[in-house]
Amino acid sequence: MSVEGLTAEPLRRKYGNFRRPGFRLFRISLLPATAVFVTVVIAVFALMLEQWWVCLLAVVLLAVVELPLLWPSPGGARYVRLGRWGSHRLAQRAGRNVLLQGPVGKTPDGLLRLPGLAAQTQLSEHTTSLGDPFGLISWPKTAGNLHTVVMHAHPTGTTGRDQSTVDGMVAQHGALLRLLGEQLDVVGAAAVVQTSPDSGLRLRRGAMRGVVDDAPEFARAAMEGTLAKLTSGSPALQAAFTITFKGTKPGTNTAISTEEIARDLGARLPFILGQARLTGAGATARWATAQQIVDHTAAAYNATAAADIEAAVLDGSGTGLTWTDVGPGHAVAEYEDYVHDGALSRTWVWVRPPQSAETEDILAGLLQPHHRIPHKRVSIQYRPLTPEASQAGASQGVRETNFGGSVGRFGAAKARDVQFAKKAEQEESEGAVLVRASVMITVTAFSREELEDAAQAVRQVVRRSHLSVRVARGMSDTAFLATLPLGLVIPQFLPVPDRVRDQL
Amino acid sequence: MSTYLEEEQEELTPTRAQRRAAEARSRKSPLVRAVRRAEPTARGWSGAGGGRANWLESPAEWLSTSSQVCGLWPWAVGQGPPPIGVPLGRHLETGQWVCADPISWFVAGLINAPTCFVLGRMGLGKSRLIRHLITCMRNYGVIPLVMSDTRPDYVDDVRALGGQVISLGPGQSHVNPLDPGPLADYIAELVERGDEQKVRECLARIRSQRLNAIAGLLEIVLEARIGARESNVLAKAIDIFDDEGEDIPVIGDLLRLIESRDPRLRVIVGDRGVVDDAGVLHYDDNKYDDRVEDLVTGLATLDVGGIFGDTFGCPTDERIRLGVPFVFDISSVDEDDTMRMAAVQYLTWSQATQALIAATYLTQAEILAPSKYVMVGDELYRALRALPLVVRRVDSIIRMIRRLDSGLILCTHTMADLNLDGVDGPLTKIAWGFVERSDMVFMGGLSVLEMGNLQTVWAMSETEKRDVTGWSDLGAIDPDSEEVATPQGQGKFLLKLGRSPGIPFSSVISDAEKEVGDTNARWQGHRDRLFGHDEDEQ
Repeated sequence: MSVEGLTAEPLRRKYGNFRRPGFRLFRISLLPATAVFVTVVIAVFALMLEQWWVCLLAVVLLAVVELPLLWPSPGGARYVRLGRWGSHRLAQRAGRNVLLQGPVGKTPDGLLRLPGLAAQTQLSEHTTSLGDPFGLISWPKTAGNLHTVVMHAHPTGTTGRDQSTVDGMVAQHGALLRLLGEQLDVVGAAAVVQTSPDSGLRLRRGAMRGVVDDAPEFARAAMEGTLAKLTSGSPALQAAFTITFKGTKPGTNTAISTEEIARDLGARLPFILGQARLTGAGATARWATAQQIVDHTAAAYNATAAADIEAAVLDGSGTGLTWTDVGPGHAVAEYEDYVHDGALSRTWVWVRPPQSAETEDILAGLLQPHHRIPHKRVSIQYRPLTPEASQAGASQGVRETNFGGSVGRFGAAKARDVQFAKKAEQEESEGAVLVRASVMITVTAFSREELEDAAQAVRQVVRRSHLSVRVARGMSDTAFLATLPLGLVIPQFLPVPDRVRDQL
Repeated sequence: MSTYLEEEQEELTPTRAQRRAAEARSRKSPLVRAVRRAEPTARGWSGAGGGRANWLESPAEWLSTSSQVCGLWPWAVGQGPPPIGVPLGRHLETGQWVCADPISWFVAGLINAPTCFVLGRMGLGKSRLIRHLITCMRNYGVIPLVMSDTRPDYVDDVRALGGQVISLGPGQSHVNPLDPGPLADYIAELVERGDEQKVRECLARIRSQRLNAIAGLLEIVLEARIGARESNVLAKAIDIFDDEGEDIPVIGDLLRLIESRDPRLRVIVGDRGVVDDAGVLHYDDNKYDDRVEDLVTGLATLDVGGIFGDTFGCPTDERIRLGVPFVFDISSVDEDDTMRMAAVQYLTWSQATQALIAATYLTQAEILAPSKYVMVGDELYRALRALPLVVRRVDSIIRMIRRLDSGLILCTHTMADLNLDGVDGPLTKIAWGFVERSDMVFMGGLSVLEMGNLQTVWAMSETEKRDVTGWSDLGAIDPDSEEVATPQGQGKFLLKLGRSPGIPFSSVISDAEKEVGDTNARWQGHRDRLFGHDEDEQ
């Protein structure tokens, strides 16, 4: 390439600036650091008071128990890992990690509900003020009486688009997240992009629509031959965006009825959809109906029946499934893998975003169909904070990073953290909201070998996207659920509030 | 220490307290306990086999602002187009299938007119694509009418589809421009029905078709526009033959009639004669001859003894059959013989259009079963280049095809082909109009020089330009085996809909189609001699 060519290359807009919330002292969070600090203080006092046994005890506690347990690592500190493993073993011994439901199952109602956290969900359908139907998933037993709407997206991708157009769409995606933060009652949103081998049913149905009986044999052979080549080995991509709303009266914990929530959402959803369509989710993106949510979820749990479900949907007869038919009849939450109705799934959750600023297509390699990972679901989860919380969070971010920077050597990493926090504060003052983001990847396979092969490929793809991930151990069932487009927001189920968790 | 999550925590604490209180209350009542058993808890069914969610851990959350987090953009990979129409191939970036054809997409409301344009350099699979389109569209009951085939590319496919092949050229089939065409075969049926209005319409249509055909040919050979008086003479002459009810006239008959200075023609020519003192009418032969001189020259050129041989001068051998695919094979016409090429192209285009008009008309009259047609104009530039005068006629033919709601597929190598008389010339504008009015465009490999032209019409993005120009590169040669790699752009097209982003795909065709008529078949023998092996043709 000529020199002009190199210099003429326009600078791409880059994104990043991710910061781990919470105070950090020598890479250790506040609460573990405090525990260590208290032990050290006790040891020193004991030394001064010549209480040798106490001093020895404190030193042993520090060296043998606290430091090994609390020392951070990418997969979580050792006490977290022990917790996962221990609780899994306990559940396994009690048979609680197995789900046997349906008419001959062990659950009381004999239905095929979604497992675990989603067993409580209810599904209803309502219409927006523009008359579009939308399915509404209620989580009645969560703190905050959550309700989720699902948008089916039809992204057109970056193919053939100029960078300026793509930048515009990405900025609109930011604007959508900001809009969600400004709704004040949005507790989480997630984009789910699912790739799977195309069954060819849609193609065949589309191509064979309107075929006349008296077509010459050559024409028929040409069509059949082409379809045969195209129906095998083509990938299919499905995309959805979920938004989960709090269903309580503002400032209180009084639950609002689902009808009332639906009425309120019906008025707001058209505007949100209008914004969402600008983000690259496609001009034809629309809210999923209740039946669509049912069919998609059923196909995810019962992966072997996915083709039958698709065929039933396509030929117009419908699946006839209801919300209490979609769960697996038999599922086992193993330590790493989730076995559900003859399929195996493993979920990875990110540990760290890309370290440096990256262009908007950084996830493209992860999102796009991969021949070694036939069934894959990538969920990008966003928890936008309200503008007030963002303001407080931005200034707290500056405090936290300054604190971390004031202890020990002020290296490049710390300088970057401080700079990120300051930039975030500035962007916040310009109107952006803070967003807590995470990425989860679920891979489904039909045998252990297939799963191991796919897992190998996931590790490569993830590395190309500059992410670090770990397998969601000890919670394979919940993690599987979290990457489905159902709007599960795990932090809402945790007894520990965010601000405490950030310091762990 | 105030944190941004204080509000949330305040809410959480009473919730938990409330929940615990409610749980405590409910434990007391056996009835409540029984009802609660049929309801899963917030974490699912408890007990063995209940699959209760066990360990819960929030995924690692990282904080940034909405204007940065959007960089984790979920829509970087797109879905393919909807499965509407003929399956064409695979999306180049995602590998998803791509379907499209002008008629299906028009019916589905995706484009405004059932027309498409194919642009691309030679040898990259343009004809292949069109052949695939028309072959597969035949399944939808769409009948392809190939207006002229110069290679021949479509002959084998049309035959395989049970269609009709009419070969034109020196020593081959004859087409008489004065032939009333396929409509004439159905007049008897109309008369039988006693529908006089329809019969009149039908006759008028046939008359104007014949007149257009002969006038257009004359324009081409005379390289000038035919004036009103000359047109009138032609019209009158055709009427005379019709009135006398003889056989279908040929150009020779017309020529002889005009040369014979028939009194009925003299009136039209404007030679009314002078009555002398004796009351005898005297005509001015010189005046008549002067005025029909061009006509006579033109007709003589078209006649059997003229430069075209017997192509136009003899009675039509084979009329176009309605309701089946057909192709005019003009591959034996010498490309450098512009006038012959122009005349033949013009005639085939107008005859094909006549067949379409006839079919539409007869369908409306409920004589023919309704079908849809797609007209194929491959190598459009040849028709246009041959003689600029044709441009206006081609333009009117294309407008006619559009009016008749027929599908239309046009094809040319480059937009520059359509620069007929300079960048801003009136003919160029007409020719560009063909492309601009096509909502659906397939672009194969094109040269960099084309990009300015394309930009004007379709607002191509940089990526699209890079793709389309990259596809025009030649295939590399493997130094060891001396095998030529498939050219990069072989079978690759960008499906562009108006100004929206295009869909790049690599075409896929069935083996059945591969067997029928290889475009490069004529080179196969030579290739075998040189390299001694068969090349796997796309």
